[in-house]
Amino acid sequence: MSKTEMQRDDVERNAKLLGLRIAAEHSQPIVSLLTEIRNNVLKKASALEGDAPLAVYFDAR
Amino acid sequence: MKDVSDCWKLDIATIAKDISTRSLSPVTLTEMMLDRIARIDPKLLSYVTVLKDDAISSARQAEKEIASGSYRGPLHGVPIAIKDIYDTKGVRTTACSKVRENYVPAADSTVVSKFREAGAIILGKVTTHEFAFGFDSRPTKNAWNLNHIPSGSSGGSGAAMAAGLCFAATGSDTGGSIRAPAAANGIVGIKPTYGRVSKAGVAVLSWSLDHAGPMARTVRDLAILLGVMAGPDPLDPHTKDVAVPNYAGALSGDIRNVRLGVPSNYFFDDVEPWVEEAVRTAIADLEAIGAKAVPVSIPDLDGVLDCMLAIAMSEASTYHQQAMRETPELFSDETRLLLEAGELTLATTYINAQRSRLAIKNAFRLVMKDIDVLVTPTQPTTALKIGQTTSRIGSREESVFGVSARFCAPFNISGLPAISVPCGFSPEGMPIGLQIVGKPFDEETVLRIAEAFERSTQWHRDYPAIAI
Repeated sequence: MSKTEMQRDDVERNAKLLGLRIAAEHSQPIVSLLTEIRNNVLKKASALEGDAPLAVYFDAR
Repeated sequence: MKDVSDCWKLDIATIAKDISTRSLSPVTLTEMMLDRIARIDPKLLSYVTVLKDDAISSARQAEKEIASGSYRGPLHGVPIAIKDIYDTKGVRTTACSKVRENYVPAADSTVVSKFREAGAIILGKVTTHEFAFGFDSRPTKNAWNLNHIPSGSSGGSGAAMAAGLCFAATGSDTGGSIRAPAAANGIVGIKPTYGRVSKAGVAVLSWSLDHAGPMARTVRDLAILLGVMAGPDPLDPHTKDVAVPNYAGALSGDIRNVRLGVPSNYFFDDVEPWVEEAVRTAIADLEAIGAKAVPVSIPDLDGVLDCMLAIAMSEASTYHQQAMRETPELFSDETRLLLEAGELTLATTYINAQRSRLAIKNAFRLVMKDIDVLVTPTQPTTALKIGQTTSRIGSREESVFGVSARFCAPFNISGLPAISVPCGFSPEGMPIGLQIVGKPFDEETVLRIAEAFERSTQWHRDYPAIAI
């Protein structure tokens, strides 16, 4: 899977769609943080078996 | 009655004996602690709220009950502090955030309720990093050096304990927030197994990663405190119906043939040399009293902090969704940024982080199969300076979050119980922590090994100058 190519505009547009007022100077740090997290989580998950389960903490006892 | 002026140095196990035999008055003890808070805390800033009148009134009640033969147990009449994310009935619970500046809960959190039932005296509420989402706990300072942070997020609990301003404190731990401040302040703290202690009435950072637990001066005290805190709670569906053993009764000092897993990778990478030396010396000390060190290989933990952050940010932003719509400007800039990023994290990222989490948990299960505990440094370095935003160890430069969570967060991800005990000092005189990690719901073994270590060393008997 290709790496995320998120831009400041994407963050600002998505925040607006969600009704979220993000601080003006936060757009770029959010892009950096989300890009790094998404890429590293994706890399970690790519080592899993395709049907590796979702960890759930709900206990139905 | 005893002179209490030096009693702040004692542990609960010791003072409880004197309280039960009425040679130590809970009222005098509480007054002594309140006096110390008034004298010392203006420099340390560990308390958000001091409950002077309530504490004296509860202490008088405890004294009356004990005099009439109704002794409740080792916490009866003992003054403790509560992290300001635990709800306390009728007492402002701010989470150190302007968002909760005027929040007064109508009920106690389950843990506070259990402490009240055990007869503990609540001295007040201590600081946390805002909503427990970070590691510096402003404005609190480190008792060992006021130019350093107390770490966090239970930094108020750690600083107040180190300075002798309470006999125990509650903490919470999502990526290291009990163990990191325990290590940074030269005290003990345990993050129990996920599901061992109720979080009902504790402000949420991350439902699936948060753990509640105690911080104290000695491991025996942790055993006493955890014995009160632990157990299933219908108000917290994450708790498990697993029998709570007599933790204090299990502290035999005998650790012969206990197998200590010593990681050959990850946990000694990019560690300050004095931290590695202190931890390896501690392992040798444990071997000298009968434990067997076994080298173990740790599963690939690359990306574990990103998984932890993806989960914590997503869950935290869900918890704060309404406040972020109504009053986002009331959050600190740093917390607001993390919550904004959490709202914009993709569901697939969150789900992949949770799937990876299960794989990490299962990998740790295999590692733990042939050992009893893992032993690691709690932190790669000692408490950072106030205002320091990154840490450089060798060629590795990390954020405060990275350096604070690197060795702790894997056990929030895996849910395994983990304790931090003091094991030395840096050349600058800052405390170093040893982390001991156990199997699920086996806090008993973790506490037994930690207490045996404490018996054979003196690190927990050092006090910062501000306390004396």
